Amino acid sequence: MRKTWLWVLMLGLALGAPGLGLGQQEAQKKPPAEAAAPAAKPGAAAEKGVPTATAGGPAAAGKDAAALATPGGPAAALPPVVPPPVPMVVLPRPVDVEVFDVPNDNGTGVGVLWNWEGSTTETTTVTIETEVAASILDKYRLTADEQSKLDSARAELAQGLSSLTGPRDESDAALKATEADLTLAQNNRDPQYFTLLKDKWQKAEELARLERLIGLLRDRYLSKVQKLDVKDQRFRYFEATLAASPWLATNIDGPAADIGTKADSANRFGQDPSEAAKFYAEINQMVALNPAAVAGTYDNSVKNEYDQIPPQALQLPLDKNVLHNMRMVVKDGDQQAIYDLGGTVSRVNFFNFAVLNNLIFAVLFCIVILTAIVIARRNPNLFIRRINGLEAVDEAIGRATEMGKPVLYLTGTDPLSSLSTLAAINILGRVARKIADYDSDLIVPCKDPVALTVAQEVVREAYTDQGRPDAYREDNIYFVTDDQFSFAASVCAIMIREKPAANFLMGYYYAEALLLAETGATTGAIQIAGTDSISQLPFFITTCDYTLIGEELYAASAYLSREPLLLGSLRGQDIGKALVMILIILQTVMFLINSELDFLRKLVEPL
Amino acid sequence: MLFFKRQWPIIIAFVMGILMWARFYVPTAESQTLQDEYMRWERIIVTFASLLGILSLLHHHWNKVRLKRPGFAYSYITIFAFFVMALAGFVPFPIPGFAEAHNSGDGFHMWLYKYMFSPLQATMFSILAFYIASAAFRAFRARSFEATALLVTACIMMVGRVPIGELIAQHSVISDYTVLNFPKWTEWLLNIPNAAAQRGILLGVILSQIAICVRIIFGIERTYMGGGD
Repeated sequence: MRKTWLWVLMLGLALGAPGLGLGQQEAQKKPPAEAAAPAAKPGAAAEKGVPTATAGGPAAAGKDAAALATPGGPAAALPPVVPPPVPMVVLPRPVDVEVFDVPNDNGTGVGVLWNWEGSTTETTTVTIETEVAASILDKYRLTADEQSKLDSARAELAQGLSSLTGPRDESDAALKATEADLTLAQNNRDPQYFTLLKDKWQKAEELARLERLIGLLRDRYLSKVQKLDVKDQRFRYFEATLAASPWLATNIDGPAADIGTKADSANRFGQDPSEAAKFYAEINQMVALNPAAVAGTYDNSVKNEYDQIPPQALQLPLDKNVLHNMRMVVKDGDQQAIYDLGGTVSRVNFFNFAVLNNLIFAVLFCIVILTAIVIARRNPNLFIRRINGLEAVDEAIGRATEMGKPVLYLTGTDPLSSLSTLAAINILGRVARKIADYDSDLIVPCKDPVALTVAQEVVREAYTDQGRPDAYREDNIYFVTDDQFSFAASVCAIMIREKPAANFLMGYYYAEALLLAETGATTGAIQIAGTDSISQLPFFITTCDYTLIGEELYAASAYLSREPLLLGSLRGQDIGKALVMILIILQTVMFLINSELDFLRKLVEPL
Repeated sequence: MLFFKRQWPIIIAFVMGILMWARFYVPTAESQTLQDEYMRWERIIVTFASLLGILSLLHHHWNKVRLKRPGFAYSYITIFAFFVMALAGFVPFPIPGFAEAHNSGDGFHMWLYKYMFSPLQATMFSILAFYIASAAFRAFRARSFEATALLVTACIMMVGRVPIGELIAQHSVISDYTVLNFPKWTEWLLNIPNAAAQRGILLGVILSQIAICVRIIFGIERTYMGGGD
């Protein structure tokens, strides 16, 4: 006990010493509003990265501490328990700042590069703010006509809602009360249970009816004036935010530790590896606050007059072709410093130079393919390597004809927007011609309704081209379901019941691949599969007689048609592949010589 | 009329193909709007196509019933299930004995979904395990050098992926690549030969996809429109 009092005495003496302890705590308790004095005009800052106004920083804290420190009084007068003094944090300062326009997916963006003078801690946060000209309000200001149209639509909505929201709330309350009674009745095994249950359904139905009507009213309002409503909301948010301060927060707001370096965003700086350790932030949005949030009264559970909870803030892209001055607010605990960063004009980028290499490769590859097609037109006798799976198409259809059994063709489980499905449809056209020639039956169950309509058209045309329009049966090309396993179940059932002599499984497949192929194998059908789904290829190879692997699926249409133009594109594709292979071999050799020679990576990475 | 059947789709494919390709390089809000609009159009088309799909399904099964084709009894079940499920979706309140009996609070439609549709789906998925076993049996019969290599690789993979493989490795490993270090061999198989093969396939697939896009955009490949040549 005596030892404890001795410790308290020593602590009291230490805290009472001038310039320490109490003085520092007082300085740190200064409210942030006081600490963040309004910044001077950014352009006036002589040097970027120099704080235009700081308070609560080390110097200020020291001065305040000196002013507020009290001479150490008698130790016994101090309370026995005193929190330990919080150590002073020296805020880091951005130096070597560069602010520049960057290409951005939102159209406009500003990049900021800097080094820290001093170091950040785990609690350091960084906010970058942009100065917004009041003229931005004009962009969102409604014209008189627009305002009148919006007002009338709002009045109409408000009138409609006033007659519905009251009954809706009553109905909701009544339903909740009935639900409570129902739970009680259920627990007590009350004979009234079923009466209450019926009552609950009626109330639930009534509530749903009112909700539907409210929804319809709101939908009607939005269909009339949604764009104007959004514009007006932006105006109100901006007006309130700008009235408080011309400096708007941006999408850069959070712990300093989360900010990456130039090396992390190499795609924004081309191949220039210099100053890779510089910190980099990309600003592409500014934040306009809800007027209630500006006033400090925002409540995220309060709905507006249209029965919606308005967002606390709107994130909008930076203005195009205007000067954006930037400043950085660095905070750590109660301390804060504001640094001017300078500004730049954020221009609309009509071309993303980061993907220039992609464009060059794409154009070159297109030129190679088109050239190969032109050459193929002049010399149609192109050699194409034998693809066993496609050579077997005639055999499979012939077998089906001999056995008097149908041919089953699947276009995969992806929608028509998938290139695999498109390739499968192309092959279907070729296969259907042969089937029409052989006078066999073709069954095409589809998983995608869009693919169904295209498949019907393709097969009909194929039969017509072969002079057999009478043999075409639209009923055999039908939609099954768009659910994966229901589709698999249905197709498996067709395989077992109809016993097709040949199964074509083309396109993209997922887990159902093995279900389909294995069922087909058990029925004894000749199976030809073709997919670019790498994970399902092993299953097809295992269970099917022939498998078109990856690119062979895309080559199949050209291979079956033997059209010079299509074969030419195959040749162009092979040339492209050879070029890529040469590049890979070259890169491998260079790696073996020197591990730093990674030209291929630099060639293909975004610039 | 022939123009709208032949040339018009090619023109649309060309214009939209070039436009959507160019969009990738143009980082403006308008470009993004174009993409969003395109997606919206696609959704609208898919919605209408769904109606066609439903008609096609009903037409197919109704014909089967009408003509008493083999297995027409299943078509009865399909039509019945279709209408029950569709009508249940329109019922706005729970039906006695279904949702309430199971305390789900949902309607008849959700009851059907939870207690009939989902278990049926799970059943189909679970059959996969048995199919994998039978497919593996067929593939692993060592009839040729390739099949033998596949069998050996599969055995290493299986042992390397189960706890006993780890145990064997822990008790017998002298260096990282001793014969019995199955987990290490498994890792090597996946990361080196398997990854190399996958990348090779992927490279071919991507170049083929670009080629098929070029063929479609320039109207060289027209099979997907019907007819073709």
